[in-house]
Amino acid sequence: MRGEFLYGALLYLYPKPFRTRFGEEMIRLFRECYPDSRVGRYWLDSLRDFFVSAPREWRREICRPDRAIDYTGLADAIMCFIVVGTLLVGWGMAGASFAINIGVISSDSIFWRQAAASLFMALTLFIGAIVGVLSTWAATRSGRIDTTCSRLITSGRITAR
Amino acid sequence: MGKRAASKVEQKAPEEFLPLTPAVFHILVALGDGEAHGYAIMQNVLTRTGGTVRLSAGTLYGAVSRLLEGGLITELEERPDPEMDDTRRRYYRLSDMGGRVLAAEIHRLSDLIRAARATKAVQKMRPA
Repeated sequence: MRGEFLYGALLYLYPKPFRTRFGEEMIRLFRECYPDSRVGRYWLDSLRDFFVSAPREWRREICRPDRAIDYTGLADAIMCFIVVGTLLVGWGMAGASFAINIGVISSDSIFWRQAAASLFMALTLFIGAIVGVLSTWAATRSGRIDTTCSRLITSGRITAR
Repeated sequence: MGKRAASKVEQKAPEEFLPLTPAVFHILVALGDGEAHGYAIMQNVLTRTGGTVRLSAGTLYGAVSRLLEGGLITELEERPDPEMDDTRRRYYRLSDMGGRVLAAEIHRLSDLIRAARATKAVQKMRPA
């Protein structure tokens, strides 16, 4: 079912430990409740639920006391952010210059030239910041896998080889 | 959950879990009748509330996750009736602590209702 596939894709936006534990059950519940009619309403309710519950699960995951931070990964992410950020700023400056020279910004006014350059700069900085935040966040979460595995092993849910 | 964590949960007084969120309260009430899987919990809540409370998957399993972590419910290792049901379903059961928390919450809500009923405004609205 296409709806189920889309909902499954949406579940990737939940924290991994939560998704691993409850993802299958959530898809099953979504499938079992899928109506024959008024599908739009059902999707609207599901999306509303998603927008409330996903941030809540992320907050819980981030505030978890047994959260482990991989400092090597964090350093890698910061380095990556610096390199990617510098490249993006360079790209943005080149883009701004190009846009002005080919006449995308047709006005000769210095104000519009500066505005265009600022816009490109802001845009690239914004993208750079998102890349940086995401990579840093991903690195800080990378130590979490070991913690989850050890907890599952100690609780006897999975067997250590 | 490890033994150490479980004993920590046991040491907590039921009142420390209060007040419960509506979703958690409804799930505990639904499990008060016996073990159930996610879909059965959702249907139970829907029927019990006359269709006014529908727990969607994210809210339901978010609450289930918190309840499991708090030791208020447990996941069953075995299926109640494997021949009648899909063995891939996970069943949940109210723990002793969960029962105590539910009782404490019902007591708290009863006190609130009693206090509300004692107000002049509510007494005026009472049918003769």
